[in-house]
Amino acid sequence: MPTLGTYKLQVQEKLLQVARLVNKCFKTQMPNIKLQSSDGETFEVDVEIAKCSVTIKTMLEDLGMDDEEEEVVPLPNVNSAILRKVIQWATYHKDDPPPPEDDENKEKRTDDISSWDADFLKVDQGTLFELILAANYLDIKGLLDVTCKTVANMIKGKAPEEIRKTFNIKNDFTASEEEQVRKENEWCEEK
Amino acid sequence: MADSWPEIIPIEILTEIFKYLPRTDRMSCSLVSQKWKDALDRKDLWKKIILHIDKDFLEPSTILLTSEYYRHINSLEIGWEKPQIQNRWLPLKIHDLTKRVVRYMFILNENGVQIKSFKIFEWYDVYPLKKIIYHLARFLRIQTGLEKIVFYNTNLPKTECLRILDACLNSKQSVSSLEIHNYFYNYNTAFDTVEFLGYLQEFNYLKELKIDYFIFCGRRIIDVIAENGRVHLKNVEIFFDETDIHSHIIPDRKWRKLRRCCPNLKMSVTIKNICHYEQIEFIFLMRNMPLSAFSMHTGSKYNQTVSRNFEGTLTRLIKNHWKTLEFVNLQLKNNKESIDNLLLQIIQKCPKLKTLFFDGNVNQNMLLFYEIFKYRETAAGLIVKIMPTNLKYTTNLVHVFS
Repeated sequence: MPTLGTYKLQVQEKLLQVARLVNKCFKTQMPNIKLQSSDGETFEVDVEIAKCSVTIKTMLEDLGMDDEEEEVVPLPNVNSAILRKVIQWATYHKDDPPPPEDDENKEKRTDDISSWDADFLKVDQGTLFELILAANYLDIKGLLDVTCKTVANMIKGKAPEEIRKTFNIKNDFTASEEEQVRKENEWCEEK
Repeated sequence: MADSWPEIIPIEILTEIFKYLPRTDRMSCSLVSQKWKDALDRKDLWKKIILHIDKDFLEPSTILLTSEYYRHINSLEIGWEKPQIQNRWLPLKIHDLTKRVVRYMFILNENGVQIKSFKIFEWYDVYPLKKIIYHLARFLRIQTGLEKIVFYNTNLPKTECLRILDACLNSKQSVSSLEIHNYFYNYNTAFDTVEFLGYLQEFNYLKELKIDYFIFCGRRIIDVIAENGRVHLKNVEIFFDETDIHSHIIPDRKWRKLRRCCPNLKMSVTIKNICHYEQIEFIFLMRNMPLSAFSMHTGSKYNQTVSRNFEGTLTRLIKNHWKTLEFVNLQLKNNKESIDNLLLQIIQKCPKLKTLFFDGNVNQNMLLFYEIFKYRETAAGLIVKIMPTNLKYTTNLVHVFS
C-alpha cells in the first residue's frame, strides 16, 4: 500500500497534468506556422489558432508537417485583407469550447451573436460575403455560423423586393412565373 | 465585389443561411430569384417540420411552402405554442384556423407524403378540433414506414388519442420507438385504457419505449412488455416528475417476470424536478428493476434549502442497483450535502459503469479528484465528467478517462 505521502505526490502530479492540458490553449509559447494569402502576404500564426480551421488542421496532419519546421501553408482562396480578419476572429475565439453539434430539435436562433462578433462583423457586404466564403473554405464552423446568422438577420422581416434591393439581386423570374407569384400573393390577401 | 456576390456565392451557403430563417422569411426568399428558390429546394431545410397550430397558420407561408417542398418532409411535429391561453390569442376564428390546418393536411395526404417520425405535442382539446384530428389520423393511416411516435403532453380526449394510435397501426412493422410524456398526472388518459394495451401489443417491433411512470405502473403494461418485447425491446425509459405522486410500486414478481422474459432489456430512470425524497423513495424499493441508466435533474424553480436527501437517494441507488448500472447523470446544480464520497462509491462499486456525469457542488479540498485519479488505472473505458458548480469560476475541471 502506498503511503499518504506518495498519494499526495501522485495527485499533485496528476493535477499538474490536467493543468497542463487545460493550459495548453492558453500557452503563449506555441510554435507558429505561416499562412500565405492569395496575394502573397504571409501571416505568422499560433498553430493552435490556425487549427480552428479544419481545412488547415487536416492539411497539417495529412502532410505530417512538423511543428519544428518553418512551414508556409498556401491559402489560394483567401486574400490578405480577409485572412487578417479571419485570424483576428480566430485569435479572439481561441479559448471557446467547440461549437455544439447541430441539434435538429432546436430552432436555429439568430439573436445570440456576441457583441464582439457583432462589432467584428460591422463591415460592408462584400467583406461579409468574402468572410463567409473564407469560413466555408477554411471550414471554421463558428465563423461560418455567425456570418450566416448575420446575413439571415439582414433578410429577416423583409419583403422579396426589399431583399433584392438590399443585396443588389436581379429579379430573374419570367413574366409567367411572376404571374404565378402574384396569384399566390393574392391568395394571401384574400384570406 | 459588392454587386457581384449574389452570383458567386455557392448555393450551399445560401441554404446554410436559410436554415436560420423562419418559414415566413423563407417564403420571401423563394420569391427573390431563381437561384434563391433553388437554394430553398434542399432536404435539410424541410425534412423536419414543426407546426404550431396557433402560430404557423396565421399567414399562408407554411401552406404555400409545403405545397412546394412537401417531398422533403421526413418528420412532422404538430401541436400548440401556447395551449393554455384560450380566449384572447387568435386573431382568427377557430373555424377558419381548422380550415387552414385541414388544408395543410390535405396537401400532405394528396401527395402521399411519407414520414419517419411523428410527434404530437402540447395539445389541450378545448375547442372542437376533431376535424384536425380526423385528417391527421387519415394522414397517419397512409404511412407505412413510421419509425418514431411521440406523444408529448398531449391531453386529447380519450377517443381522439386512440384514433391517432389506431391510425399508426399501419406502420406497426416499422415503429421502433414510442414515447409518451406528459407534464401532468392525468388519470383520465387514453393511455390508461384497455384499448391502449391492445395497441401496445400490436407494436411488436418496438426497440425503445419511453413512458411516464404513472402510465407505466398502471394496468398491465409491464406484463404486455414482458410478453411482447422478448426479441426486439432493448430499452425502456421511465420518467418521474413532480406531478405523478399517484404512482405506486410495481411488485417485485412483475419485475422478475420482465427480467426473465427480456434478459437484454435495460431500464432507464429519469427524474425531473422532484423536491422531496419521499416522492421518489419508492423507486428504490423496486430492487428487481434492471436499472441501467439513472438521471436526475433538479429544476431551478424550487427552493434549494429544501433537503432533497441526495445522500439517501444515491446510497440506495448503489445498494440496490450496483450490478446493472451503466450510466449515471446527476444534474444537481446546488446540492447542500456533500456527496463526494457517494460519487466515488458509484465509480468504484458499479462494475458495469461506463459514464458518470455530475454537475453540482463538490468539496472545496478537491479530494474527490485525487481519489478518482487514484482509481483511474483500473478503470479503462470509463468516462467521468465532473463540473463542480461551486468551483466553476476558479477552474472548470473536466475529467475524461478513456
